[in-house]
Amino acid sequence: MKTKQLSNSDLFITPVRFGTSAWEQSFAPIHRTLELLSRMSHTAATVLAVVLVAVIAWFDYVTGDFSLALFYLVPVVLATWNAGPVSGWFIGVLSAAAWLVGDPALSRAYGHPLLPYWNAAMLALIYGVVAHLLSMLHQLQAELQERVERRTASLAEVHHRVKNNLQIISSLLMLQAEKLSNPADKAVFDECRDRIYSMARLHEQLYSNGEFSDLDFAAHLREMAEMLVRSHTPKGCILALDVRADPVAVDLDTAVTLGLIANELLLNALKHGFNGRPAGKVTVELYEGNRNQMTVRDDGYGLPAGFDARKNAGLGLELVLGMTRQIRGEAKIENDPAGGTRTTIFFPSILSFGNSENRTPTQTDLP
Amino acid sequence: MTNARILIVEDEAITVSALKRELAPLGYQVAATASTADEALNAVELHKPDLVLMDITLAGSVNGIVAAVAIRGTFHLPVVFLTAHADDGTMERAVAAGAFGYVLKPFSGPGLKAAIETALHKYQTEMESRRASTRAA
Repeated sequence: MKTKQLSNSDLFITPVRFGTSAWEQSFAPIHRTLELLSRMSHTAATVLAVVLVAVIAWFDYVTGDFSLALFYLVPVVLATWNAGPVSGWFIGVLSAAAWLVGDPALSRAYGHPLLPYWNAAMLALIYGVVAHLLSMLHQLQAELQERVERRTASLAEVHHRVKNNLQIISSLLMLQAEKLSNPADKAVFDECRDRIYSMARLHEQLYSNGEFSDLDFAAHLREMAEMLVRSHTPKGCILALDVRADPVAVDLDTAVTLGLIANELLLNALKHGFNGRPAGKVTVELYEGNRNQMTVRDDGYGLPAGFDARKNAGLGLELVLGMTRQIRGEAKIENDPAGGTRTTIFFPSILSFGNSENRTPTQTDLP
Repeated sequence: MTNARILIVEDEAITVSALKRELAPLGYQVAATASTADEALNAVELHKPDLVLMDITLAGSVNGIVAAVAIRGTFHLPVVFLTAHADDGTMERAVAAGAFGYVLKPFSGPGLKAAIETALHKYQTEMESRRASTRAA
C-alpha cells in the first residue's frame, strides 16, 4: 500500500507542447480567419470576391486621382485560393474592368483614348498571372499537406506496432516465467517486463501528443514512479512517493535511456531499501538547468559499509552506469545525510547538445 | 466483483495466453476467447460473459470498435478496450462506442484489475438506475 503526497511540483506536470512560441501564437487570429475563409464554398468565395471588387471600385471612384489597382489583388487572391484558377481569372478581368470604370481620372491622364483600355488589359493579365501562380502554389501546398498527413499516419502506425510487439515480448516473458519455480528467477522476468512497460509508455506519450521528436520527460517519470511503487512496494510497508518534476524536454533516445535508468533506480530502492520496515519514503526529482538533474532518493537502509559500485555493482547498477555514460551524463551514488540512498544523474540539456559529434563523455562519480 | 466471467477478444495468441494467466490470479474467469468480431458476437451469445475485454485491431475486416457497438447494442454488456492505440482519435471513437474502460498495451496486472472493476461497478450502477427508472415509469 502506498500513499502519494502532493507537492508544489504537481503544478508542473501538465505536458508541454514544445515549439509553440509567443510569436507564433500572436498570429493565431490571422490563422483562424484564414481557416474560416478556407472553409467557404467556391460560390460563396466568388460572390464575396465580386462584392470586394465592387467596394474597391467605389473607393477608387470616390478617391479620384489615387490609384487602388493593387487592392484588387485581395479579391483575386481570395477567389483563386478558395475557388480555383478559373474563378481567379474571372475576378482578375472583372477587377481590371472595375478599375477602368472606377477611375474616371484616367481618361484625362492619357493623350490617346485607347490607352486606359490597354492599361486595363495589362492589369487583367497581371491579375491573371497572379491567380495562375497562386493556384499552382495552392496545389503544391495541398500535395505537401497530404504527404505530411500520410507520413504522420504511417509513423503513428509504426509506433502502434512497436507497442504491440512490446506487448507480445512482455507476454512471452510472463509465459516463460510461469515455468520457473524459484521466486528470484521469476522476479528477474518481472523486472524485464517493467523495463518493457517503461519503454512502451514513452512511445505512447510520443504519438499521443503528436510530437514525434521531443517529449516532456516529467510526465513519463511521474507515471512510471507511481506504477513501480504501486506494484513493487514490499509487503507490510507503507510507502510515500514524492515526485517533484520540472517539465524537461528530451529527445526520444535520451528519454528511453533515462526512463530505463529511472526504472532501475526505483526498482533498486524498492527491492533493497525497505524490506522489513513498516514505512518509508521514495523521492524522485527532475530539475532543468544547463545540466539537467534527475535524483532518486529513499530513506531506507542506505548503501552497505565499504560499498564500491565498481566492484559490487549488480546488473541493475551496471546498467545504470552504462546507460548514464551513453547519454553523456554523470552518476553520483551516495548515502543520503538524512539516511537512505541518493542517486543523482546529471545529463546534458537538449539545448546544449548541438552536434552529437561534439559530445564528450563525462565521468561517473562513485562511492 | 470477483469471479466475473470475461470474454477476451484479441487476435494475438500470445497476448491471449498471457491475459488468461494474468486474469486468473486477479479472481476472474475467462468465459471464452475470440479473435474476430463475428466470433466475439457468437461467443457473447453463447457464453453470456459479464464483461468483454476487446482489442481494437482484430483479425478480419471488422475492428473492435464496431464489434463493441454491436455488443453494446444487442447484449448491453460492458466493454473494456485493451489496445496499443493511444492516440486521441481512437480514444474518442472508443468513448463514442460506449467504452466502459480503456487499457493500454502493454498491460499491467493492477492496471487491468482497476479498469475491469471500474467497468463492472459502472455497469452495475447503470443497470440499477435503469431498473429504478423502469419501476418509476
